[in-house]
Amino acid sequence: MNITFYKNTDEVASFPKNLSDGYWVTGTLRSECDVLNPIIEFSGFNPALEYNYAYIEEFRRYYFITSSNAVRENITEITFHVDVLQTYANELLNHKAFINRATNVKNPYIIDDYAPLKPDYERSYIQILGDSGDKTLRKPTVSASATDETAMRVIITAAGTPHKE
Amino acid sequence: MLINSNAISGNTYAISLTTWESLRQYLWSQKNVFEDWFDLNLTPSALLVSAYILPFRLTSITSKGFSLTSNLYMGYKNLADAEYQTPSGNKTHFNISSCYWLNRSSGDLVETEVASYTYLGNGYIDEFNELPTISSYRLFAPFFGYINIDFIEYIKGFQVKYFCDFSTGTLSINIYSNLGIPKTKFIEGKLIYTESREVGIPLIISGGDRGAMRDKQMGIVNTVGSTISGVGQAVAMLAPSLTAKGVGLGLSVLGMGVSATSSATSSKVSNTGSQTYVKHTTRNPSTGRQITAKTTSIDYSPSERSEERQYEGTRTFTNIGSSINSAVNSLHDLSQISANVQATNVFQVFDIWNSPMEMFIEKVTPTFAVDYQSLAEYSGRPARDVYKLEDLRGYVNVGMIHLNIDCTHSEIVEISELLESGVIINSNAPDIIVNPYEVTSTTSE
Repeated sequence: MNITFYKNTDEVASFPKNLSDGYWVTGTLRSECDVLNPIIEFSGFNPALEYNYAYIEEFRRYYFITSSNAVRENITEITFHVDVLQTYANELLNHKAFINRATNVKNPYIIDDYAPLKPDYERSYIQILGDSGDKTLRKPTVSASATDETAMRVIITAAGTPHKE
Repeated sequence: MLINSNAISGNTYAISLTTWESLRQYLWSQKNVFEDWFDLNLTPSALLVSAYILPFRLTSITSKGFSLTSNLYMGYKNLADAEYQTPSGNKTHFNISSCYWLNRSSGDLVETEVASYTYLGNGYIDEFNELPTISSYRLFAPFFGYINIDFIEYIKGFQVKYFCDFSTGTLSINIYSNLGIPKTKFIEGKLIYTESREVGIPLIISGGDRGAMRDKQMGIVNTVGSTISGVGQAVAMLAPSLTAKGVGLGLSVLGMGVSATSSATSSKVSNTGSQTYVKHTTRNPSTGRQITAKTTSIDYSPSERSEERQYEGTRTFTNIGSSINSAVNSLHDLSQISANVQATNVFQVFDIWNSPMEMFIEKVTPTFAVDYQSLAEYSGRPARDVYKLEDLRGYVNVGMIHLNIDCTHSEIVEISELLESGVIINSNAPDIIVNPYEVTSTTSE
């Protein structure tokens, strides 16, 4: 049996993990073993002192070291638990899923009720200038001066018959 | 002439439009009052039904002169005349013009439809904070003030049109929705807003009871003429002048001249022997009563004002004791109706054109009260859509996934539980990706 031990610093529920400093050991499996939660005794070596993660080649799975027990002198019992995310990372990454939340996704149509909000008042003016189909419109000019007393502004309505030329 | 009518109250009656036409025919078909004006010896102002000044110029209007008689020319040429579309010919009618579109771009009034303001909105909603419940979209339209624009209409764009019926001085505004594709072409849709408002400022010609005013005026003239014939030529000249020019117009001029005096206040001067008294009357605006405030000698002191007299005017008289001042004071009484319309009012209305038409957008934008970037790193942003996991980075919370992996059942269950409780994906996915089906913007928080 070939086991590679790692020092894992990534979060437990993360994948793919950045594993480095692998330490490879080999041995013989002497008793029955649960593939998902193997318990293996190591003689003269306590991997839990330096490592927290492992890959068992025969099981083709990555494992967390969950506990270590000193059974007797020079014998240490290590309990593993399969890391399903790391083991099946490639398959998972090719999957599609309905995502509730994600760090690098932004949907502008959804108000994030996780974050507390405060009101920010914004006022803006858009000047409407004329008719040309976009915002670059004609600017109105006021040709009728307020003091122009000769302009045709006074309307009178007279009684009687219409004026004859 | 007996007309078919229904009495409403007092001397108010309801008649049909047909009956009204008949009544109008009867009233105005007897004589051509323009030609017979001076023979009738009526006040010229009675010929003018209304007069007001518009806050814009009139152009492109058929030139027709308007005169009371051939030798008494009134007003300007080119005034609007007889544009009213009579239902049938040979009817006497008032000078009423049809409706015109107002060319706002030049501030003039023209016959053809020109004035339209098209605002094509953004065409899409790119921020959740533009929801109408927390934002307001208002259009400032000259003469009409702020008009609430529906959020959807704002997004689609809309069109504003003015038109003016200058026979009544009424300006209307119509706003149409846009049925076109946003940001391309405006296609006029349904009328979503309309409002009419009188913008013509009335120019007072005479009081409502012209006959009573004329009689009173003529009485004053006769009295003055008979009692002060020896005083001088001034009053003697005043009487025929008033008679010729018309009482109403004369009063109007006087009214403007004393505009500094409170319209609710009057003062009369009487001469009793060698002592001159001033009788002060005033109107309490809270009660509307015209009261005699005090009768004083000419050394009236403002410090003696009572509560009622606080509204008293400050006009002074320089020739107390002369009969001509009695006439002037009486004219002042009659002219009180016209003291409120002054040129400054009109010019203030003109200034409205200097206010541009514009959208006034007020957003109450929700902003994060926390460091949202940090929050998003820990708990992600709301996605609510389907993504491939290799496109995601950082915290990912899976709502539903259909796993197709060659592994044990307990491993499938564990994977599902982990994904639905939230995992960290260490990938090289881009920092921010937006909804793949609605790629609009990448605005940051």
